[in-house]
Amino acid sequence: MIRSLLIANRGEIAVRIIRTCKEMGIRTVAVYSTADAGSLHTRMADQAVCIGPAPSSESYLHRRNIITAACATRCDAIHPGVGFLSENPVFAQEVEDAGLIFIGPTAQTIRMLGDKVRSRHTATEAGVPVTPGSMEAVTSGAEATKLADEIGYPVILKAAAGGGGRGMRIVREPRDLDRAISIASSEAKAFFDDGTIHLEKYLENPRHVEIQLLSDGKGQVVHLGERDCSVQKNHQKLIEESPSPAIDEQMRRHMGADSVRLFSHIGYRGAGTIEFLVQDGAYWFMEVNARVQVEHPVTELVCSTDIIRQQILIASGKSIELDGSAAKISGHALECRVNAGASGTITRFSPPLGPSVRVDTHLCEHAVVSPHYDPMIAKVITHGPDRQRTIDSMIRALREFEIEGVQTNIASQITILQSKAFRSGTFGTDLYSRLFAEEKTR
Amino acid sequence: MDIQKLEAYIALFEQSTLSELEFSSEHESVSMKRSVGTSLPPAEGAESITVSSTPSTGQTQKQQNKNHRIITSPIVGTFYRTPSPDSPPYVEVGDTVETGDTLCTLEAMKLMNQLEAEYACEIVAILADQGTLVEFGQPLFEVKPL
Repeated sequence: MIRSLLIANRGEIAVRIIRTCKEMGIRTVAVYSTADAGSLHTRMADQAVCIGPAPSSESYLHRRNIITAACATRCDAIHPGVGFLSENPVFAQEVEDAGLIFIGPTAQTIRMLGDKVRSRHTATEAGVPVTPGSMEAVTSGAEATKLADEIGYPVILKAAAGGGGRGMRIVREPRDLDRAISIASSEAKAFFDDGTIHLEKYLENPRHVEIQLLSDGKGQVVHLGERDCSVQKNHQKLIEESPSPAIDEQMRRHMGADSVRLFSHIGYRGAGTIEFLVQDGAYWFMEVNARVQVEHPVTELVCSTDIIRQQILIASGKSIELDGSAAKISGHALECRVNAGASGTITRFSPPLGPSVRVDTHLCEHAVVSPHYDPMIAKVITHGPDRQRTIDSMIRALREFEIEGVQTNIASQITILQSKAFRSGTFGTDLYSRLFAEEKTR
Repeated sequence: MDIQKLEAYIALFEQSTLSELEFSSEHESVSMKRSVGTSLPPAEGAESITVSSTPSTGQTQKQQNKNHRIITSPIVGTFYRTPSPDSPPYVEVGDTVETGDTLCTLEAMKLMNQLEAEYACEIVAILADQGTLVEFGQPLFEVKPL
């Protein structure tokens, strides 16, 4: 069993992981950059090690400083959290080479899933539907034109090594294709040092639905239902919920079974998420996030489970504390990301309390929202018996949240929650732009 | 100093409860300090690389004494004052070093990183303990630039 754990992350996710460790009796070591000195995760952990200056490339991405800190403080394992080094196969390998446990899949799995072309192949092998498109890298020329004609415009070009909305290019007209391929390829080369791109059908207004899985790497794979992350602004998720109002029981069963089959097929170890696009009663595999996700709390609430705890148990070679291949879902959960509009010092901070509400944050009065890192202030999560009640709780909670000193997106989050489209549950990824375009023209 | 005399000093120090002992005469100076850490100094022949002590701003902080400066650790590592278990320390308090002279070894993932002086200076104090973990930015030496 893991007895000492280093958390290679910062902010609310580091705090989140430390809390579970405390409940499990695991000693924690935090790491921090000079910009995060005194931050909540450094105060909550049993020990804290400064690993570098403010820029993350010299601190939270500094693999050697992190691994050295883990070894010197006699940790058994490293939890990478989300972002930073969480899906870096080189780091996963180096952690294991140093004799430590990496809380996540193997380096080999991370590498395979990080390549969009290879992961599409793997999904197809496991019998999971992928969006119509190329199964190999595309280059300019007749082949790409023929393929695009077959599947129909618009199409999207994606960097094989890309993710998070970067390195993508939508093509609506055949005459733009050749030029777009050469631009996308050089962008991919510049961003990811890999010019490989592939082409697939572009869905105009799909739902973004993902399946949460836990897999022990020894045969047991459990799916914990889905999360709907369709409310996005420039590909950044704003509101997530479970269950999804866009899929019915039959589709849920099929997506769950497909997801379990894919993870069994690759012998996945740990917590992971399979992202799908859903439109017109069909779904297609998009990618695997080989780590815990920011929006994991909604699943924790509807499944009454602690996903971080399960990750630690799996990494320790223990069994997942859920039976069968599908977790039981109870009620509805919603998460709103409260983000800062700009960096600054928080002068007043009073998060919501009361029934149905959970708040994950690392901030407090006098804390600084640093310009060096992501602008997330808090995640507000509500859990209720049904979707409407959960939305009501969320609106109440957000109104209760008092933050001064930095601008936040709370008002726009409330606008979304109160909109007819969101309430109805019938909308796609264009909801945000539609709502706020209407606001402007009104 | 002859070896027997030194042995006598060491025996005396070991029997005492002192954590640190320094003395000097016209011809010799001796400094002894009990190691707080438990690790052994790095083995000889280990791979070595050089690290810079001032990769970013704020690394060389002003000390109370206006002429003194603090040299801080540029990485996370284990601090060693000697190149190998049996060797004498790179520097002692009172030593003067030239630009490029090695001050200490910082071991990180089995790599021996030699920290070199960025400027000529006199060592006023050694602030980290042999064999212990040092963090990024942790003070290692108090020095007086020459």
